[in-house]
Amino acid sequence: MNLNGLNQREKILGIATAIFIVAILLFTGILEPQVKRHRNLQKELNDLQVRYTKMQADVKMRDRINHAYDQVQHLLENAETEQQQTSIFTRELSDIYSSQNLKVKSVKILPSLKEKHYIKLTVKADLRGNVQFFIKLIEHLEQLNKPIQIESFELRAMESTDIVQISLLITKIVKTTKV
Amino acid sequence: MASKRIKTDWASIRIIPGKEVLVYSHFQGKPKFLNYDDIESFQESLKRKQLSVNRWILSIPNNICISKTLDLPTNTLSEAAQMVEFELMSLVPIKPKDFVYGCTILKQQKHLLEVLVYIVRNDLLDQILEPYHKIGVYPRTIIPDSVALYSCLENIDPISPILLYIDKAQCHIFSSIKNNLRTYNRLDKIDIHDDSCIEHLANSIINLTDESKAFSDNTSITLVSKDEYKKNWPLLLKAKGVKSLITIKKQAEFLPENTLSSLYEKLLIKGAFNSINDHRYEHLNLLPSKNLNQIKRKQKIKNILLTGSLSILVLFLLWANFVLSNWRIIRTCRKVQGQIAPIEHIAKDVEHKKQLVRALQNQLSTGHEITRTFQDFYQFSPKAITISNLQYKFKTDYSHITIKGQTDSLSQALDYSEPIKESKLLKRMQITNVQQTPTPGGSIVEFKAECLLQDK
Repeated sequence: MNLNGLNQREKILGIATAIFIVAILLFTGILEPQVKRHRNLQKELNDLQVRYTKMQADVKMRDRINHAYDQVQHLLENAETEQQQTSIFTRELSDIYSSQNLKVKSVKILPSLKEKHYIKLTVKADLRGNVQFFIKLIEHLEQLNKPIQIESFELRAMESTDIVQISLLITKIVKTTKV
Repeated sequence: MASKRIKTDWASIRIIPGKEVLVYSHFQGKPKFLNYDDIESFQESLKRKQLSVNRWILSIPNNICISKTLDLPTNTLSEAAQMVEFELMSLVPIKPKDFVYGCTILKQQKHLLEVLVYIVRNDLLDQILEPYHKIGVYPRTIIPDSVALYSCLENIDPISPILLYIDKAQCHIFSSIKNNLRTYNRLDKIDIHDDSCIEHLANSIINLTDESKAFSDNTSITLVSKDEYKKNWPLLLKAKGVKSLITIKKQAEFLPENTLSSLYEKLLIKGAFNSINDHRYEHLNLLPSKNLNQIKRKQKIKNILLTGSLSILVLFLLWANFVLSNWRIIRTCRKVQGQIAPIEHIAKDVEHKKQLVRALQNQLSTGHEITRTFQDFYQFSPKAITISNLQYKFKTDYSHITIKGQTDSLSQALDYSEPIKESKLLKRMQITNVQQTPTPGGSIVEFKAECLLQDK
């Protein structure tokens, strides 16, 4: 390669390109790994600090939480698996429908919401029956001393009768030993 | 020599034939002569870094220089220096690559510059430079002895147009116009007892004073010599017809330093040093271009190495900064982890319970909301209103109800929200859509209403 044949401008361009490439190589080879590590460590430290602050706050309100937990823990039913809990839940609901003279058109078990410490079971039920029985069903569900909640429902009246069609979405919070 | 280290940017040097080395420079703002008894001691001083000089200036004997005067149509010396290059071919019968030249201003007239060009053959110059190169001195600037001597003498007396240096072997006569060297004569073998020699010197001076009269009224002469030689000269010259005022400068006035070595040599290196920043001599450097290029190349390499080293240092510092910073963060992380460890199991238990409590509270938050909603609908809805569809959706912040119903008249539908306002729970109900449909024997009004349950 004959560099003497290059003019001044080409030489300057060549040198500038070489410097640029060397700078990039040095940055990517030496500096960047440290910069990346620095960012990751900084994030890790921030997370740890947030976690520590949160833990300190948790420890401070331990008594209050324990007290609240003691008050509600009896509501939680324990079972080994999610399937067992779902089965208990649907049986429980089925008993309630039957007791209220409501005809079950369909029951659908929707995917449950798995949280770290509990599972939220969801069941969708289409029922048919007298509006009074339906109100009684609602009343009954709301009076149950269990973590059951009516998430939504739709009530549709049949023409000129007291018969209604109901779609219910009911959830229940349960605790399992095996998630 | 004192063992104190001396570091300077510029210094002038001269190897005196008796192998003595003489150096002059300004050290810490003070002028200083350094005498080395022999070349070896000078080399040793350089080797031990007792003397560290960045750039050297050297004066060379005038007898190896060819001097020519040129009249050039320009006002500036830099332009004149460029023009000289084209005139040289006619001045000397030597190939341009075989000599080096420099020029200085002699006289400036309107649009015309008279310059004095010094030309030195490369081979002669190499012979002069050889002993300097041998001891590791590569001069950056080379000027003729006459210029160095004049530069020193004019510093001693800047007013006199005629400057005279006499010692037992030689006499140098300078005449100047407006501080530009006009003529230079050297007379060798000066003998104070030789009448013809004195007459010859006197005639030279008379000629110069006559020339000076044409330019200035001042024709004074300044005589510089060793104290033991100068006493009789004014009388002798006056006796031979020199009428101008002759001022004698005492050695102590211009060279307070101890002068063990030759005064002439000292004046030369002092003058050479004085000429460094003199703009009149900026184009007088007689350093061969190959040497100059070599120096420039060396300087370039030095600069590249310095820049490279600095860049690497900066990079290293940046890298070290990140490494140190990372190390510090890791240490802090460990410290925080150490603080977390003893409370972790407690906090986990609390967090677990907290999550459950929150979920259960949320699950139970509706209470008897839906039953109460039905009660309020029964209690506050007018009898003419029939509800055919009711949708309920629970949300964490509020529950939302949508109803569809029928009534007989438009006004009943539109006013439906009024009686409902009495319900605490359904207070915020709004009719969103009303539609009247004609039927046989009347009409039916269908409406849609939405409500956010007040309790939340």
